[in-house]
Amino acid sequence: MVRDITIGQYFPGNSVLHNADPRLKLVLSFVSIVFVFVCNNFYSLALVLAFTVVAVLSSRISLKVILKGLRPMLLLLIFTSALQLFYNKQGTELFVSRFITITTGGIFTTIFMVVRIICLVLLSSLLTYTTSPTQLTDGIERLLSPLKVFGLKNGVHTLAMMMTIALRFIPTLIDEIDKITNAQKARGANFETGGIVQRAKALLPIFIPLLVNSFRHAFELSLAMSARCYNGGEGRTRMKQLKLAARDYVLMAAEFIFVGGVIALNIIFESVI
Amino acid sequence: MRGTDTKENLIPIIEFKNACFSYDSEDMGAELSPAVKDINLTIYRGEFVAVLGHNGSGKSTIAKMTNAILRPTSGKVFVEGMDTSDEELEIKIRQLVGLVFQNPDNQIVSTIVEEDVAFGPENLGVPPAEIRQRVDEALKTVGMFEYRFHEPHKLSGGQKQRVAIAGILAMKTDCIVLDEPTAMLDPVGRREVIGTIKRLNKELGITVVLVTHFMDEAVLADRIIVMNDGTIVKDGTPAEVFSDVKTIKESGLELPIGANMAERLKKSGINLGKGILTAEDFATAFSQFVVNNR
Amino acid sequence: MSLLELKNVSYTYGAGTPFEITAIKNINLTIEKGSFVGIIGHTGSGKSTLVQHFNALLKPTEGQVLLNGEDINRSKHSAHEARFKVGLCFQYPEYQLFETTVYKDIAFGPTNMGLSEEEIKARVLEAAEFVGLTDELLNKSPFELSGGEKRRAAIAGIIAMRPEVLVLDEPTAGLDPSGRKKILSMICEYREKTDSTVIIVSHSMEDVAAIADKIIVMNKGQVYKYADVHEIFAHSGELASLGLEVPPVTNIFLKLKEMGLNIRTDIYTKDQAEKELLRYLQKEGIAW
Repeated sequence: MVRDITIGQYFPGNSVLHNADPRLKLVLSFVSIVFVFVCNNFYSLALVLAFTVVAVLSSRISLKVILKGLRPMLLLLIFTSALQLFYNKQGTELFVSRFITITTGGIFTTIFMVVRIICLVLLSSLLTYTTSPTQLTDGIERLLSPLKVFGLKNGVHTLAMMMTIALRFIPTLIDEIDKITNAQKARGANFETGGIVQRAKALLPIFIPLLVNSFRHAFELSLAMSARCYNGGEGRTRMKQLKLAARDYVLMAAEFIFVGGVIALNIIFESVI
Repeated sequence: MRGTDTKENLIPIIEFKNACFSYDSEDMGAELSPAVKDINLTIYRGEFVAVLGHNGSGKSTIAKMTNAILRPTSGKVFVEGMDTSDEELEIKIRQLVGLVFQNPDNQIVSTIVEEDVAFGPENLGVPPAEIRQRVDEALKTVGMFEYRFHEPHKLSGGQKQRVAIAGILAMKTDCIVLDEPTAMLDPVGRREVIGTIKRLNKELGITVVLVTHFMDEAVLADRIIVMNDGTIVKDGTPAEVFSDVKTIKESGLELPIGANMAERLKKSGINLGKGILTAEDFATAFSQFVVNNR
Repeated sequence: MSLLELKNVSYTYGAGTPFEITAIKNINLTIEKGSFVGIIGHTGSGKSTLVQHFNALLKPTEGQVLLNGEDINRSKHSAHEARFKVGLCFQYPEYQLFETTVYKDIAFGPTNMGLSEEEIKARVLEAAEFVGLTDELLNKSPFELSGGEKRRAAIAGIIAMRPEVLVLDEPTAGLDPSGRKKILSMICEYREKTDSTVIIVSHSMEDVAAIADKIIVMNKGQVYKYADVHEIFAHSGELASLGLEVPPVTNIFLKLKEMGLNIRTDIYTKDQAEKELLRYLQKEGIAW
C-alpha cells in the first residue's frame, strides 16, 4: 500500500529536460508557473497550454505516467469547476433556474481555472519527473548559496544534506514498514476493522518499532558520516560541477519567448478575467 | 607478544597503549560499544589482522577507537603517531583509517552509488576532477563500476558493502577497519565482501583490520586477535591462535572446521600435524597422512 | 498425517503491472505433522515468499494452501485464524518489539486471539520459559534487553500463540557462534517438549542439517528437492554446484573425494565426519 505513493517520483531518461541544469530547471519551472497565472485572455491561455504540452512532450515521459499524475486532481477539478460554473454571477446570464445560474463569467473562470491547475500540476511534476532527487537538492543548495552572505553560513548546506538523507532513507523506511506490518500481522494484528480510534491504536505496533529503528538508523548513519570525515558544509567540494551547456541556453531562450509571448498577448488582447 | 622475526621492518600504523573505554551512562551507544580495558596492541602497515570475539566482547569498541569515533577514556591510541584524543587531528586520522560498519543500509548517504562514493573526498575538499578519478578507480577496485548510476537501495547486501568499501578507498586511506561487515549478509554477499577485502590487502597493500565472529573469515588473516570481556586474550598467527583450544572455547568461539576435525582425530590418536585450519588444509593433510602411512 | 499442504501454488508480485515478478511457481509440497523441516536456498530463491503463504500473509496468485485439509484463504476469518495456527517469526524479529514491557510484547499475539487474562498469563510465562527469559526480564522494557535476549523475546511472542506449526525465518542471522547454538538448542528443546511441527528457513545448511529431519531445497522459485536430510546429502556435490553453502564439514569430504579418496560425501555433522574418517583409516589399514 505504501509503495503506491509517487510524490516527487523521478523517471530516469535522456531527454533535453533530463539533461538540463537542475538550477535552471528550478528557476524556469518557477517562472513558468508564475506566468500560468499571469495570462488573462484566451490567446495567452492558449500559449500557456501549448507551452506546457511542448514541455511535456520534450520530456519524453510516457503520457500514461503523465495522466496518472493528474488523476488525483480530477475530483478537485470537477468539484471546483461545478462551484464556479453554477455560482459565479459575473458577466451575462446564459441560463437561469431556481438553484443555479450559468453566466459567461462563470464559464470563463472555470476554463481558466481548469487549464491553469492542469498546467501548474504538469509543470511542477515535470520538474521532479525529470530531475533526480540528488540533482534537485543539489540545485536548491546552489541556488540558495548566496544566502550564505546573510549569516546563514551552514544553514543552506544543512538543509540540502537533510533533504538528501531523507530521500535516501524513504525506500529503506518503506521496506521497513512493510516488514514490521507483516510481522505484526503474523501475530494477529488487525489493521482493517474497528472505529477510527481503534484503527489508530492498531498502528502503534508499527509506528513504535519504526520510530525506534529510525533512531538506530540515524545514530549509525551519523557515525558512518563522521568516519568519512563529514564536518558540515565548510571546505566541502563537489564531484559534479554544474555548468550551463548549449541546451540550457536553448531552454532559456524558449522560456523568454514564452514569457514575452504571454506579456504581448496580454497587452494586445483584452483581459477576460 | 608477536613472535615474528621481521618485526624490525614493520612500521606501526595504529597503536593502542593501555587504552580503556567505558560509558558512564547507559545511552544509546552503550549496547553498541561495550567497555574495553587496558588494550595494548600495535597494527603494522600492510598487515591483515582479524579481531575475533563473541558479541559484547568489545571487538567493535576497538574498531571504533581506531579512528577517533570513540576516544579512550584512559590510555592512548595513536594513528601514525597522531593522538586520537586530539580533536584537531580528527580529520587527518579519519582520512588515514577508514571504517566500514555492519549494517550496509546505515552507511550509505546518497541516492546514487557514485555520489555516495564521492562523499568522503568531497568532505576532504578534494578538487572535483580528482574526486571523479578517485571515485571511478575505487568503484573499479571493488567491482562496482558498472553499478555507478544505480540507486543503492536496489543493490544486494554484498554490493552495498562493496560500495561502502569504495567510499573509504576514495579517501585514499592507508588502513581499512571493517566492523563485522558480513554479519548481515547471505553466503554469496559474504564471499563477495571477503574476496574484495583480501584483494585490497594483497594487491593494493592496504592494511586491513577485520572484526568478525566467523572463524572461516579469521583464518584468512595474517594475524588474529581474540577478545573476551573487553580484553585481548590471544594475539598470534591463525595457527598459533587456533592451537590454543582452551582460550578459544573460553572466549565463546569455535575452531575453524579443519582445526576442529584435526582436534577430534587427535583424541583418537591420529595426529595430522600442525597448522590445519580450513577444510582444504584438513583434506590435504588427511590425504597426505593416508599416503604416508599406507 | 499431512498438516500443511500446498497445491500448485504460484505467487507473482505486482501482478498486472509492468513490474511483474514471479517469486514462486507451481509449488506442491506437504508438511507432515510433527516433522522438523529446513528450507534452504539463496537470496531470491523464493523461500521467504513461500513461508508467507503458510499463514496466509500472502494469498497465492494461483493454487491452494491447505491447513488440516482446509483452504486457509477460503475466508477473511480463516486467513486470520491461520496466523495463530502457523506462527511465523520473521528475520531479525527483535526490530518488531514495541510494547512497554517484555511481558506485554509476548502477550500481543495471545491478546489478539481474544484469550482470557489468565490464559494469556499462562502462555506468556510458558513461552518465556521456553526461550529462557527470567521473570525479572519480563517486566523490563524490550529496548533494555541485549541483542540475543531481544531475539528470544520476539520468538517467545510467536511461541505464546501455541501455534501448530512454528516457522522461523533465519532465526540465527547476525548471531555469534554461542548465540547461534543457544537459539538452535532452544528450538530443538521446544520441539521435543511440545511435539509441534517446526520449519526453519536458512540460507546456510550448517545449522539446518544438524537439527532438521527433512529439507526443502528452493531454487529459482521452485522446489528443487524435498527429502530426508541424509537423502539430500547423498548428492552433496550437486548442492554445491547450485551455489549453496554446504556445511563446512561436508566440504572436507567433497575435497577428499576430489583428491581421489574413496570416501563417503553424504556427511553433514562433525560426529558423522569423525566416524567416517576413522572408518576410512581402518579400512585402509592405517588405524587400528
